[in-house]
Amino acid sequence: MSKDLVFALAGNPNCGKTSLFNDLTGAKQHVGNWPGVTVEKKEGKMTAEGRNITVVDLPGTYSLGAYSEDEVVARDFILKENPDVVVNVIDASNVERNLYLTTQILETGVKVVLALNMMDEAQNKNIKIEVEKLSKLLNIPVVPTTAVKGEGIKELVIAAINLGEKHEENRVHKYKIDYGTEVAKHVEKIENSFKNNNIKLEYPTSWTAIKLLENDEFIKKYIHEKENTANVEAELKKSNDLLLESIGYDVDAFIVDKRYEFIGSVVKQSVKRSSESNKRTLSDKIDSIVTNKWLGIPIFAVIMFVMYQITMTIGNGILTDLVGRFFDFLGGWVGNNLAYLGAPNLVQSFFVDALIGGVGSVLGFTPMIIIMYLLISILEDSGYMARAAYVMDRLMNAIGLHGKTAVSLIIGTGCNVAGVMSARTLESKKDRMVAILISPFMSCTARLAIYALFVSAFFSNTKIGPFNAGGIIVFGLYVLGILVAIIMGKFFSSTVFKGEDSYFIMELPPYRVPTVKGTLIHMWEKAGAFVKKAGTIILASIIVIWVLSNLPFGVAPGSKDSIVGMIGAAIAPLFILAGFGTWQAGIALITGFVAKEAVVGTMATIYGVEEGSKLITAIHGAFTPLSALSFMVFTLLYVPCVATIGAIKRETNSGKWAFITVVYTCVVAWITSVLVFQIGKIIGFN
Amino acid sequence: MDNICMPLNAFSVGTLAKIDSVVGGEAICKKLMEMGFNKGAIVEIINNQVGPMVIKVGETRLVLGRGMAQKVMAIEV
Repeated sequence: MSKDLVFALAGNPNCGKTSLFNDLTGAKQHVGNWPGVTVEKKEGKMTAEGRNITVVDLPGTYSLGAYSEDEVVARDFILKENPDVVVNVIDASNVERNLYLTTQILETGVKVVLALNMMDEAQNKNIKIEVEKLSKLLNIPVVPTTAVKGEGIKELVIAAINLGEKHEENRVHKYKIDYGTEVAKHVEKIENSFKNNNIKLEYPTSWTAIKLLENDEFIKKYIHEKENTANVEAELKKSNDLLLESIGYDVDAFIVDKRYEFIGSVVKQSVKRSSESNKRTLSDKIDSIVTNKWLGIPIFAVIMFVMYQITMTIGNGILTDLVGRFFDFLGGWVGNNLAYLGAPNLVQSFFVDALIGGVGSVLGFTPMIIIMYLLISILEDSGYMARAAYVMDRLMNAIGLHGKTAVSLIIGTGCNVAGVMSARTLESKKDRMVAILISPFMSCTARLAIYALFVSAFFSNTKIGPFNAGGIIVFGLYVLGILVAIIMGKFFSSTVFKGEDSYFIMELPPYRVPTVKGTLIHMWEKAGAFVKKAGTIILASIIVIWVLSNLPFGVAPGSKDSIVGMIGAAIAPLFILAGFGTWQAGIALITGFVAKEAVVGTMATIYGVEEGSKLITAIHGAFTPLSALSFMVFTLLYVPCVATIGAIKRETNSGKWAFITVVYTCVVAWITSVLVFQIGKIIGFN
Repeated sequence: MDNICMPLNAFSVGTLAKIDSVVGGEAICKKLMEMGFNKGAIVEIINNQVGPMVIKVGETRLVLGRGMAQKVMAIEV
């Protein structure tokens, strides 16, 4: 009867796999992480023809080699989790390149259905594909689809279900690509070597043998780490040498060539292009402007600036205001009702300040995040982000970084958590690590709230030349953050991660108009992940801070005698040299570790005043202009909020790096703020 | 005319190059081959300014860092 099926979607990046996944699973998707690696795992559910189907969206890869974690994840899923069917999504206007992955998937022996996607674009380019012929040549079902328009999906699902439920023996042997008699001979020798040495493999033997000859790093290591494989390795070396002699060049290159030969013949027989398709496309024309030597970076700067402005005015300005007012109202209403019911002050405070206040500050932040992710999704889905990375690469290279790192840092100025999460798009581990480690120095919007407070307290009426001092100082802080990020980036690339390779190879997909559905799902996924992860940590931390400021029992909230006050007083001496060695500053910094946007509220609580002009007056008593400046510098550079640390831990898959980040950012911050204060004193500024 | 084998970054914009080999032997070389820079493939140089190159491989436009482009040996077509 009909059982539950598992479909895996595999294909090159940019072939519309994600659109197809969205079409099949709609809102019933779940995004997580593959265990042990920093690769996104997307899974969803659907029902069709009475079957329950789990759809797993494998990472987009160009092959099933061992070059990146993505490829290993995709490969291991196919070989070890045994999905019923792999739906291989290929871009119909680029069949030749896409089929490379197909040959690799076929060689694993799994059941495959080919989704010939983006048929509309192929038609526009006058590319005609003989679907029947292609299907026969590859020996698998082929279904033309246009995922963004929803065409062909039903037929695809039916074909996949039929294939999934068919019982087939010996699939691996059906898809042997002809690598020539020499290679075939040695494949057999290696297979025999496995048998003779009693080696049990988790993968099909002929597949493993071919991978060994192909010099697959992962499989080589896998064999090396097994017991009793010395003979196999000796046999492999012998084969490699003999093959090098008989072929004339390395067998791994030869195997790749043979695959392309097979693909070439398949394509020749089934794909017809007219000469028109070699014309300069619209994408090329746009690119000649967007990636122009002189216009590229200015265009990028303008787009980033516009994105920032929209996020700030609509997100941070209008919507955050609305959310803020709602929560103020809610807090007041709950507070009044609790008071009316005679609840003790402490309970009232817990509900109003900790719970409602906490949730309010998280949700207050959310509109900005949603808008930012909406704009980022549009830029990514349209294909512009790839151009941005390309354009910035030249500049970033001069400081030892990647073009894509620039994009991730810019996202970090909205929120460090988002910046850290976006480092996933960087391919090499080194680039990812460096981007993650320097992102805390990008001044985020939460810190802006802190600057706003101190700037209005001390600098709103001074001018530097014709400019308002406050504006210059805030701008200067952003610049300082960027400078420190660059310096640390260079430091990390040339010391800790020295020698690890940083390769830049990236596809420029054709420009596409993003679909509303696709963009919204994309944005929802990212914003949702953010709110869930950051939101829970921030809320929990705000509650903890609340508890600490209200213990021991009966103490005035946030005062010197509360636990948080005592901690603040304990660390205060550390900051004497930096000019703000007070317990109040200590508490503010501790709160800032939790969530930077909570600092202003906490300070209001400590001084027992409302936010606004009363708080400003209170601050005047504890800070001077110079110490305010060094305090802001410290806030800019020291440990990012707990949510960011959490993200760092997740993205690097190690608590060690998260801990290192905490320590080193504090060190850098301390040194810099002390310098600022001491130098300021020396030049007589106070 | 005898065309010599040169690294990809020596080609000017608009020329077609036939790939001969990818030198170096590191894993990245195989990756390059798998992305279309295999022996005999014909690619078009779209962009070759300071910084990474843009190369058309089949229907795909690939951005290739200079270090990587240097490993790809080709002959002008």
